[in-house]
Amino acid sequence: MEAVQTDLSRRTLLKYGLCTLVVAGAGGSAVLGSATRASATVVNAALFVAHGERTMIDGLVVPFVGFGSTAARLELPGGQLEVQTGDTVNLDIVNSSSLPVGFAIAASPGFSGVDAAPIAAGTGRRVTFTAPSTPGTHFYVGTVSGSADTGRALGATGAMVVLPRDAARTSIDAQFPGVRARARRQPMFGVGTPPAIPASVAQERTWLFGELNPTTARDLAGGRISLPSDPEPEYFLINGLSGMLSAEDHHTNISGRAGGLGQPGDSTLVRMINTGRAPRSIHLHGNHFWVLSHPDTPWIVGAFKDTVTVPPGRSVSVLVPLEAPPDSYPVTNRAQKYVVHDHIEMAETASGGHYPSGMVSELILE
Amino acid sequence: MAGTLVPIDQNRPADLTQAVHFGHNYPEASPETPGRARPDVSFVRKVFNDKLTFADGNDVAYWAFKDPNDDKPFPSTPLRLRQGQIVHTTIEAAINVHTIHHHGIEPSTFNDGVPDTSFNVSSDYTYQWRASRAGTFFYHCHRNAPLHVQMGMFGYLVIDPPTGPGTLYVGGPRYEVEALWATYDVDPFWRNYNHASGEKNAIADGTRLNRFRPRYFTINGVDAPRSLRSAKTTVRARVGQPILLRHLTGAYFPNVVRFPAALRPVVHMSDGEPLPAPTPLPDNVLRTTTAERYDLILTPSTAGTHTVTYEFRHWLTGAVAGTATAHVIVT
Repeated sequence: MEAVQTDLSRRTLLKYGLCTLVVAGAGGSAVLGSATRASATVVNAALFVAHGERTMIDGLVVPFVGFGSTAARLELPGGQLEVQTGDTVNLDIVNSSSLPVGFAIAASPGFSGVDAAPIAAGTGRRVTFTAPSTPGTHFYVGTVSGSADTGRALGATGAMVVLPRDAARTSIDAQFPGVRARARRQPMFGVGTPPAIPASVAQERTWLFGELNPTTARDLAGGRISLPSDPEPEYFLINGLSGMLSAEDHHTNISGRAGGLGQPGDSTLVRMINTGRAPRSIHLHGNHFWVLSHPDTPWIVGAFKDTVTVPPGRSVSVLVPLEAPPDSYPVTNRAQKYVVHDHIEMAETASGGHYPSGMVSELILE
Repeated sequence: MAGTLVPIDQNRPADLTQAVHFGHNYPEASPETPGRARPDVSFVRKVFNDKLTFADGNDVAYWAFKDPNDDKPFPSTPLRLRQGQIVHTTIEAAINVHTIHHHGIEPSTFNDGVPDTSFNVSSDYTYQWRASRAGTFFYHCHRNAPLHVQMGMFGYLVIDPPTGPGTLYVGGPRYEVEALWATYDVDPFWRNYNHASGEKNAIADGTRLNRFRPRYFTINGVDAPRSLRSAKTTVRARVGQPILLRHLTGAYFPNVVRFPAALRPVVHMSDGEPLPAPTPLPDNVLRTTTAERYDLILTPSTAGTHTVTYEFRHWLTGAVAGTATAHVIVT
C-alpha cells in the first residue's frame, strides 16, 4: 500500500503520463485494491483516472474513461469501495485523462451524497466524505466534463458497499434490518408452513449494469457531453462483460450448492447497481429471490419475486436462496444451470442485435 | 469478413462467431421427456401466425401459441391449472423451431425451455413440472427471445390453489370477477425480421433488436380507441364486488398504470408469491417493467365506467410514448 499523499505532486502525475491504457482484469467486481483501513473509523484509498480501451464481445474496441486502483491498471468496473457505516473516507484521485473529471455518489435517505468539483486534467486532489450511516449499496461515478451521465456512459463507475459496523456482513439482520420480519411466501404446494428467508448469507455478488454505444462513447471521450437524445445503446454489460463472457465469469455468475425443497443452500446476496439510462427488469430462472432493498417500491421489500425493476441510477439488493428448483419433477437440485437476464429484451443483445450476447449470466447449481 | 461488417459501425473487427456466441450452437431436437410421469393435467400448444388490426386500420403480423381446438387467439391460449398438479405442456413447433419457457416456474434445466441451456424444439416436446405455487405467471418462447416475445409468443399461466378459482392462494383473498390484462407494445418494423434474425450475422443482416420503437400500445393486443366494451379489456362488476386483476407487463417499455380511486386497488401478490402485507396501491399508481406480474383486488366504490390508464414510457428517456386503456363497468 502506498502512503497517502495529501498533495499529489506534478512530478508524480507526469510519471504516469497521459497514456491510453487497455483495461485489465475486466470481469467480476473486485474490491478496490488501493483501499486500506487507516484506523477504526478511517478508510484511505486511491483512484486513478485515465483514458482506456475496452473490447466488446464481438471484438470491437471502444474508448472509455475510467478508474484504476493503480496508475498502470484500469479496471472495469472500478474497484468496489467497501466501507463501514460512518467511516471517514479519504480518496486520493489522480486524473491522468485529458478531460476534467469529478467524483460523485448520489444522495440517498440518510446520506447527503458526494459531488466533488472537477479535477483538472493532469492534476490530483483528495476527496473526503463521511460514509452513509446505514448499510447499503451505492456507486461512485466520475463526472466527466461536468456530467455524471457522461461518466456513466463512458464507464467511469464502481460500487461502494457500506457494511454494518461491529456486525458480520453475512447477517441479513445487520445488513437489512427489519426485512426478515417482513419476509413472506406461501406454503409450498398449498400445505404446511411456508419456508422462511435465510438468516445469513453464504456468498455475495455485485452486478454493475452498464450500457454502451460505441459512436457516442467516441464522442464523449473526445469531450462531448451526453444528451437525452443520444441513440440506443448497442452493448449491455454486467460488470463490463456480456453474453457468454458474463455467463462464465466466476465473479458474476452465481454458482453454489443447492438445498432441498424450500431449504436454502449457498444463499447468495446480489447487489444490483444500474448505471444505465434504461431501467432493468432482472429475471432469474431456477429460483425466486427475496427483495432486501428497493429504492422506489419499499412495499415489495420482503417479497419473494422472480423479476425486479432496477431503476436507472439506483441499486436493488436481493437474496437468492439456492434452494432446489421447486417446480422440478422429479425434484432435482444438482447439476442444473439457469439463465438470469434483463427481461427488457433489447438489453439481451449485443453488437446492435445479437441475442443472447447482452445482459445475461447464470445460476449454476453444482 | 470485412465486406460484411459495415452497417452500423466502421470499426467492428468481426461479427459474432460461434466461438463467442453461445446462442448459435444449441441443438434442435424433439427428445423424450426425462423421468416422464403420469400428469394431473396436460396441455398442447401449437404455434400459429395471424394478424392484429388496430384502430387506424393498419395491421401487423403476430406469432403465438394456441390450443389446437382454439381459433386464433391473442394473447396465446392461457394455461390454467391447480397448485400441486403435475403438468405436461406439449409444444408443437409447427412453424420453424421454438420453445416454451414457463416464466416464474422453476423446473429442471431440461424443462425450462431456454435453448442456451437446453435445446430448441424442432417438432414437439412435452415439458414436465409440478406447480409449487399458486398465482399469476406467463409462458413464452425463449428462442431468440427479443424477437419471438415481441412477435406475440406469450400467454397467461394461471395457477389456482388446490380449491380452485375464487381464491388467489391458500389463505389469500377471495374474488368474484377476474381480469387478465397484459400490456403489449408493438414495433411494426420488427415484422421485417425472420425467426432467426438476431441469432447470427446480425450486422450483415441489418438486425437491430436493440432498437425498439413501438407505434401501437395495447392491452391484450387492443389499442385505446377500441378498448371500451372489448371483452379483452373490459370487465363488469357491482359496487363492492371484489375483482381480481392479474396484471402482466408484457410490454418492453416500462408501464405506469393509473387506477381511478373509485376502484380502491390493493396489491396482494407479485410474481406468484404474496406481498408481506396486502398493500393499498400508493397514489393508485403501479410502476412496473417487463415480465413482472401484480395481483390486485379492485373493490369499486361507485357505479359508472372506471378507466384504467396504462402509460408506456420510453425505456431510455422515460417520456410517455403512448397509452392504452382498460375498463371496469360498475353497476
